[in-house]
Amino acid sequence: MRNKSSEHIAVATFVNDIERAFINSGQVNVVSSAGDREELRSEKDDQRVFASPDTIKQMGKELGAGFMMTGEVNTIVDQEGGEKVTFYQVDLTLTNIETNVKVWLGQKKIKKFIARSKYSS
Amino acid sequence: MLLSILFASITPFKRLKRLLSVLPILILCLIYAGCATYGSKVEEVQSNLTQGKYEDALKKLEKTKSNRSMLLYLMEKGTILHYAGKYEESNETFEQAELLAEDLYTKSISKEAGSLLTSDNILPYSGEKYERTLIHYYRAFNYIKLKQPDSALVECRKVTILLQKYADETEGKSTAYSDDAFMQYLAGVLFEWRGELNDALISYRKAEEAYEKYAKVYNTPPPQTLKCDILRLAKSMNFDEEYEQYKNKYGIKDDIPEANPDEGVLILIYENGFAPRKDATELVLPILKNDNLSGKTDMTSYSGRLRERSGKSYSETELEYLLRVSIPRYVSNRPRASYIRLKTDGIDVKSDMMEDVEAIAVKNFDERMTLIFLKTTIRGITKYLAYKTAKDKKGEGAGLLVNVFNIITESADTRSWLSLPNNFQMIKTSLSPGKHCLQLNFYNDKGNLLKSTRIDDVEIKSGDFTFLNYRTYQ
Repeated sequence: MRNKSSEHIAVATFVNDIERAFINSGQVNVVSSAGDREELRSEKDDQRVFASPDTIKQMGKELGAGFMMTGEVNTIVDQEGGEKVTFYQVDLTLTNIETNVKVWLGQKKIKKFIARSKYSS
Repeated sequence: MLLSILFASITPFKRLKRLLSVLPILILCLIYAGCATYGSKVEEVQSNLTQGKYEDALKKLEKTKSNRSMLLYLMEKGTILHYAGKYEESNETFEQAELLAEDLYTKSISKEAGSLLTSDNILPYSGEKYERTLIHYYRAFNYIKLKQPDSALVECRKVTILLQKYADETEGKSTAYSDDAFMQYLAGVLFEWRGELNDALISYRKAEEAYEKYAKVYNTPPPQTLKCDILRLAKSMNFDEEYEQYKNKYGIKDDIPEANPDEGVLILIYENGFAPRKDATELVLPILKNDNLSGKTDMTSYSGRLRERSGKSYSETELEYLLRVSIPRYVSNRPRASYIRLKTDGIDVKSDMMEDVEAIAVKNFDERMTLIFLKTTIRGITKYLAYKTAKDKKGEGAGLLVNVFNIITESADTRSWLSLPNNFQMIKTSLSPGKHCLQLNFYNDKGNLLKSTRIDDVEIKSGDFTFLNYRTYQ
């Protein structure tokens, strides 16, 4: 999930929300993303040396994902005087990993209006 | 406590006389406390920064913290934290600074009216436009050091929006600072680094336009690297029209070679010296008896007349009052090094001037000088009239007290972001991948070598950009 906007947005929390929704629905299995996978694999590596034989977790038993979800957040800002309108657009893409086909595209737009008072109250 | 001892068991009349006798000392103490310029207050902070004593610098900075100068405190603090290597904290501090600056910017208009009667120092410091822009420089570099390039790009987008706002407001008015060529160029480089080529080209073109104005106003011409970058990018994106247009503009006949994909790019920003300080100078404006100064005089035209009299001498009989006003003015602070050359692996490249903070600060200030002088003079005249009225109606004592108030509240506003460099320069060059040892040679304006430094183990990766910044303080 990439933040291509003009504001610092914690996209990680957004990704967590989506993953949680998938898992809670009971219809989708979510596997770890690239970064987390490396961590798990090095843990398994570590176990091969240090853990007792009956508790060592096997390599080669990961679930191969069928789809990948990617996305980005973009902003368009329009401002004049003390007024500013910011459009936030979140785009998500679900891609079939084997065939490269984009099976689903999701989009959500929000508009925020900010007026800054020129005079202190 | 001292006062209570002085006044215990004394008649009211004698009390007033006693007060008046102590007054001169009190006045002197208060004047001394108020007269220190901002520059003198942060001198220790700066010397600690120069010596790399960041904790000490921060401690000294705490002493200058005040509600009215909160923005200034935050900007200085963010800068020190950056050089101390505390990039996250630096960003948090600058985030607060950004929000505060935006808040103050829209409200500064209403407060302007209030300051007519008291010194500008009473106003909260709202930051100059170029200062607000350069906050994003430090934030972007903080994110680069934290290996969060996406966040660095967010800063680029923010600064682009901010500069658009400035452009809309000044609408091409004269020589006022309305766009930042350096930050546009840096944004372009960062966009290109992360593969956002359309945004990169737009930023490069904005930078090019801005440098045309920089050349006229601040004597900072468009750097050669920028010209090459526009041509190279336009060509690689097949924007043939733009490519030809710029080629003709720069009078370049040969085709620009494509970037070598095996090489990496080194971007070294040289942060040179310290930004200039403001000093307070005193102007003596003679008010003559013949002027018949009263509450009905037209202040604006009268101020102009007074200004013309500054420096001339008049006889005792002609003179009604010598009005003293304190005006801020910039003191040049050019560092010893004029430019640097980078030597590594068979290349020898000279740095390009990117942003002359001193020139921008001074020019920006000059534009406002007339207004500052006018306001200060009108304030001075108004206070004088108040003093005169108090004296005429209520006697010497009252007049004296009013005069004391006037003196204390009058001091020039000498605030500005002083830990900023005097100027920013850049070296942008392609290098072969691997570890490089960089030799930096510092030259003065006559081309004499001042000193040499080495930066070892600079890693260059194929097809990647490596960003470095290097600061000197003198």
